[in-house]
Amino acid sequence: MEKINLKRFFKNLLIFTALLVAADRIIGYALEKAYFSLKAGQFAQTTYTLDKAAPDILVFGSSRALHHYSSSILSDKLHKSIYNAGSDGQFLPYYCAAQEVILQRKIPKIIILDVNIWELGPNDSKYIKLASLLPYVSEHPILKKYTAEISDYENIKFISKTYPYNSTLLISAYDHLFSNKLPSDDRGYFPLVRTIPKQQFEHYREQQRIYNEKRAKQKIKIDMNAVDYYRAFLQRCEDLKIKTYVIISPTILKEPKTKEKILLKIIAEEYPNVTFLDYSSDATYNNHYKLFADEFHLNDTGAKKFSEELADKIK
Amino acid sequence: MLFNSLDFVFFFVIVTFLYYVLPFKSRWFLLLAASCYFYMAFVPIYILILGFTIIVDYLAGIYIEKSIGKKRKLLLICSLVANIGILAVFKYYNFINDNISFLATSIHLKNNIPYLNMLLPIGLSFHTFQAMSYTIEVYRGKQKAEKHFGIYSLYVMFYPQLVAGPIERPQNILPQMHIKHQFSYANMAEGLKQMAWGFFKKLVVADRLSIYVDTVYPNPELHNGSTVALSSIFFAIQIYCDFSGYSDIAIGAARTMGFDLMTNFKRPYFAKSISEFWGRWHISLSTWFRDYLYIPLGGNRVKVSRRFLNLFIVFIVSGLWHGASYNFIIWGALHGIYQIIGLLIKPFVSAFEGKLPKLGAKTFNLFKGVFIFIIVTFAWIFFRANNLSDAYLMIKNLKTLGQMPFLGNGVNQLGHCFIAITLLFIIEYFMEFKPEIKLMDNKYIAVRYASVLGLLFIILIFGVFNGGQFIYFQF
Repeated sequence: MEKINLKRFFKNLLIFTALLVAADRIIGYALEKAYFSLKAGQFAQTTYTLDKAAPDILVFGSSRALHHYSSSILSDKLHKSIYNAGSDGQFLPYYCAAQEVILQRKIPKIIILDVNIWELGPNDSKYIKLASLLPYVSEHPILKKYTAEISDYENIKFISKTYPYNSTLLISAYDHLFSNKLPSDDRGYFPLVRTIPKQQFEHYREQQRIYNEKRAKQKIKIDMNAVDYYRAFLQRCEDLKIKTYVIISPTILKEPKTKEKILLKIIAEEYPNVTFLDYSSDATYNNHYKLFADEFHLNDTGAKKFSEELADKIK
Repeated sequence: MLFNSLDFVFFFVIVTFLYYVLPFKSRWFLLLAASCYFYMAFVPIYILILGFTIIVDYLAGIYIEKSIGKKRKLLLICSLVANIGILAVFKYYNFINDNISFLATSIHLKNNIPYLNMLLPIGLSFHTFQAMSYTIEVYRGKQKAEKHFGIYSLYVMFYPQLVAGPIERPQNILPQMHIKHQFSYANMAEGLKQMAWGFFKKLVVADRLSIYVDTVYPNPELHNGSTVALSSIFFAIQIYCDFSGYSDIAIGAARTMGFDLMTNFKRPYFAKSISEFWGRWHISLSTWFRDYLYIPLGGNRVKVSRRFLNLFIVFIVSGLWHGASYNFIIWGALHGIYQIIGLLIKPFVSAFEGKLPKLGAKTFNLFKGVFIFIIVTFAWIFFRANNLSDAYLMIKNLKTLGQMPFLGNGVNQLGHCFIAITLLFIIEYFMEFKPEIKLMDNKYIAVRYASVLGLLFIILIFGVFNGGQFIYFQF
């Protein structure tokens, strides 16, 4: 009886595994097609960044980079081609990966690295978010060392053709259906046209006051791995003699001088080709809520004002 | 070792394979060694604590069985003191010390008792309760003392349910450890399917919702009422899927080796009363408290006021079982109060229901289900908040319920959350109300294969593969 059961089990397991592999190939292929055929949206932008971008000026950073650096203004004023490679919700490990891939193709004249004030703070999600690089690993094997940060067995997971497209289906579908309704893409720059309501701003100011009081009592650990990524990014710029600007772009409220913020400056100043600019305490922007789309991002008016000011400084 | 890791997949395949390959006499040793390895993957040194309770309870069991009268009772007390003592030291010591400090400060004294700076051994409350149920059952004469030290150790340490239950009773699991389980296709297929369902709950639902919940709960001052409400609803579903997902994987993994563990969850959010909710939620713990605390306190065979007090005590203790903080005590107290009110209004509700027409009764049932979900979710705020002041702030923020909730990164985050919840609801709806529709156990092989493959690809496409550990590990 046990032998019959075993035979049946292994026979069915074999059939099931064959079906699983076949389905994985078919679904993986369909997801790959859906992903790489996108013309607009975050995935399309990542594809352009990693596969094609080769401008004179490159902007790296999170959504704050994406929404704060007007490509047309910077390009016109500096008479150079530009691409804004900012990516929603990303941190230093991602900027580092994107930088390494692009530098294999083209060495830009200027790099702008927009850093968040919480860039060096403890936050595991900065590594988990490297999963957005998974679809590109087959084309750019250099990315494997970055995706290895996600978990111990990332390379084994590549056996599956579907896995690299995990969590992409919904956005792919959304962007295929609605990306024509997104604001037009200005060489990567994504303008936000709304303005934060005054009441929302005041509510945020109060929330932030309580948060800063709470934070001041906490012992914040520096993420030394993130520090290593930061240094690696700047070292590559130094080695290739690329003029680099590390910028904390404007914030709606004056940001306190945190340990992470001070460290960002200290490290940047170790590199002769790097200029560190901090706008997080700039009275031109702090509390001027009409220049902001929400609590964290400048709107198009604010971004254009900031880009003009920055271009004059870089000239 | 986490169930939602590739380490576990390798571990599971190797252990299950060896289990059937090895002769029956060696199987207990394989499972015990595997369980030790599984446990030591967390914090190795804590295996010594487990070893201590195993030795104490093993000896206690044997001597309780041989003894009569006061000596028998004394031996039981010694065993319970040892178990509860370990819980007290590792789980409640700092909490008690906190309270002493608070009292001392209020009368201008200084508390010099040092704090313990160590991690809580994973799953301590689970295996301690399982060990205690053994000595109590031996004392009551309902279970023979286990003479085989290895088998007894395995009873406490059986890896599928070692760190987060179900909290088994010796009558169910110990006899199974003495039986030779033949390889059975049905057991293997059923076990693997239940594991797949558990992985769906954990990876697709719980870990997806946790991304939103973990953004909101640590900083309640940054979020408005709508965000608090949404994150609390998400947490209610997250904790259900996290914990019941773990139970499904545990029960499924045990089933592949022929072991039958007890059911731990029966779709609790379909409950239409609070007592029904507790009949469906963490059943192994609810029945533990019923058998070893509620009934010894007098159970239902006492006057009404005493019965209510008993219920309240049980829920306070249940809160404390979850964690040493006032948040958990309040969570337990709220459920105690819900239970008492539920019992008080039950006759009126039944009378009202009796007068309703068919359609009205259905609508009323739906209303009751939604109401139970709301009050349970409200209690979860205390369970999830980092401390009492955060819980208070979250409830205070509910005033701004009309504002736009925090959207995270939009389609990606909330879209996936809603897809996960919708899939869960549809599948559980059919399990609850149309149990005759069986996809994974369909008589047609094509339907069975398609549904299992479908479930696996939903996990692969929508699952979160880098989520954290299971919430209940901390208990």
